[in-house]
Amino acid sequence: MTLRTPGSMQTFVLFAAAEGVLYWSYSEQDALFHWFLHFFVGASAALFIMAIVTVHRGRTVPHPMVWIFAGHVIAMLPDLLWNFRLSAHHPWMDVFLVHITAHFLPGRNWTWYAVFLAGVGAYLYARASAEAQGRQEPSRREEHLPRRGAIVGIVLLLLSMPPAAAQAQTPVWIDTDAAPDMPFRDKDDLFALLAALGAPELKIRGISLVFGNHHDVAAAQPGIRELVGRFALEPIPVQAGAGEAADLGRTTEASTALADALSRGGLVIIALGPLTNVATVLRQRPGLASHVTRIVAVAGRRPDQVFRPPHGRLVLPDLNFESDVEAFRVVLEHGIPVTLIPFELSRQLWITESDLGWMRNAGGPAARWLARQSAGWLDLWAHGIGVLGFHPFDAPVVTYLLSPRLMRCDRRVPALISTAPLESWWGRHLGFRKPVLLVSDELASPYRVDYCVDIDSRAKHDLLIRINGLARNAVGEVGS
Amino acid sequence: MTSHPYLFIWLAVAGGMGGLLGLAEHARHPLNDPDLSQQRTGILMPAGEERAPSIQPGWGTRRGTIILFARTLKGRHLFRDLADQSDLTSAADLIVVTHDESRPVIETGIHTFLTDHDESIARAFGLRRPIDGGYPVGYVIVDAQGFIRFRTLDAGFDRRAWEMKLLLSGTR
Repeated sequence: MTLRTPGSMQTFVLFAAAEGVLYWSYSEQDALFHWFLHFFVGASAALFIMAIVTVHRGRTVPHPMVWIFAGHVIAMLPDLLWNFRLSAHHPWMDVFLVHITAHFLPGRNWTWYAVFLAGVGAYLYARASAEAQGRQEPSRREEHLPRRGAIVGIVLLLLSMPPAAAQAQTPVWIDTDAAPDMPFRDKDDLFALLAALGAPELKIRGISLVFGNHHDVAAAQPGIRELVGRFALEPIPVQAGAGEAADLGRTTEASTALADALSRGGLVIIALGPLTNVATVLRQRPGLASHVTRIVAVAGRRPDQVFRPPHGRLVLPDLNFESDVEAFRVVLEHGIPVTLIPFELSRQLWITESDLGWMRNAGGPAARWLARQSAGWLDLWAHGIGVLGFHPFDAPVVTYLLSPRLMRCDRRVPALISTAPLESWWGRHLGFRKPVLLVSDELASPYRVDYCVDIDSRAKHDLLIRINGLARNAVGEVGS
Repeated sequence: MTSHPYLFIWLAVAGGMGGLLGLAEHARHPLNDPDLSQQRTGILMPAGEERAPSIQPGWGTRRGTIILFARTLKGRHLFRDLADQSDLTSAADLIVVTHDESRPVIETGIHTFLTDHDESIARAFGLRRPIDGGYPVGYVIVDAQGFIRFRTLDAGFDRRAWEMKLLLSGTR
């Protein structure tokens, strides 16, 4: 047989000219990307439909170039409105052959190129089948076999095309020992909490309260609920959990809620306090361990490392770990991916009076509220430790999740729960020891963790801008 | 063999379109977004989803705001057509952020100038890093309620005030 191209040469020239005009309409856009994208989408739709029609009718479709051009025009209609300065794009414009969603298909134009080639292949195959039927007189059964096979193949291909591209939102659970409205209690959780509440990158499934900075989770609950109600982007449940390490294994509101959330899907757990609530869930329902995508916890140290703020004599504890050592052991034993944000990283960040002043003057209601909450804590560090600032220990957890390029973390470092001499003079001399969570390449341990060691100084600015921008339009203020 | 001519067509289409696509990928502007799907999409983000960070005291939300990011404006106009500058300032607050502290030749109508040596402002507004890895050039549109509705890298924003006006009108 002689080769017949799909459409006459004249049609092809007209088609090419029309496509040239469509490309010209993008000239202001300097965006070949969009022309290719919507050409591939529209042409693919047309080709698959033509293939189905060809198989169904048993003969070729007239004017295939017109079909392809029409598909392209439908797919790019919102762009025509845009290029002729008539309308911005809106999500409902997906009705034009997934015009909005099509942009974000993984692999971008190369994926659509593959779909387009599949469409060309399906159409040419259908056309070849139809032409073969025209030459032979097959039996009814032989006639239907390739037709049915082609239809099934095309339908499967169409079904395999991905639906709407998902927004990249990380589902998280926050477990915190935040102490709002409690004088002289660490305010670091509140920095992390507020930054997370305003982060559209995170989907916060719930917040659980745990002891640590305080031992009265019931007293902390109303304050956190009010905080969340005022500043979160959407409603988030707040549940009270363990009030002491002895509660490990005891069912609480928090453990029940966390288990429910995990049973519905994977979560990153942001652990700002002792891991008692998390370990309780793992003990009671070990099968849920595989649903914990990662635990980001504030704890850990290198061997022989002492937590000493600069210029101060005071030695700080690895509070979250030392408050419930057994809980950390449970987590490590379950093999869950763990990232540790240790003191050596947190000590690189300082919140000073000028930062609080910036929050008071430039920030929204959340920032002003946090600045007020932190004033007493700043005074405590100034008078108790002798430094004009404090470390927001928990805050880098948010940086780790939202701006990971501002942090440097060592991957899969051996971690071990061990003991070390007490740092105090009398402790050392009397031989008293305390538990420590050690991380080092030199350790022989079956457990591995990611251990963050460095944070860019810009992280503080990043954090404060996030907090300053939170709830700019809130009518009232928490605690005012 | 019927299949051979069609195989030839398929290969020609695959080679032709693949070559053109590769060429387009290769010829991208160095100030464009590495992910072109994020470049001047024209898609307004939903209202009420992402609050704009606070960048200075007194920055209000009485009306929409356009925050323009540039590496330098030394000896340059903000827009190629100065009428665009006055048009836009009547429709929205204009905030200009530069990496090097420079200002355009004519400052009339510009609400605020900010310097962003450490790129924290660009980062806070979620601007992505361009192909060349340097400071992002583009703009962000914040609606009257204080929510970010559009952000893009755009090396040619100085000739696209029409686009900003179109997007602003979509936020109302």
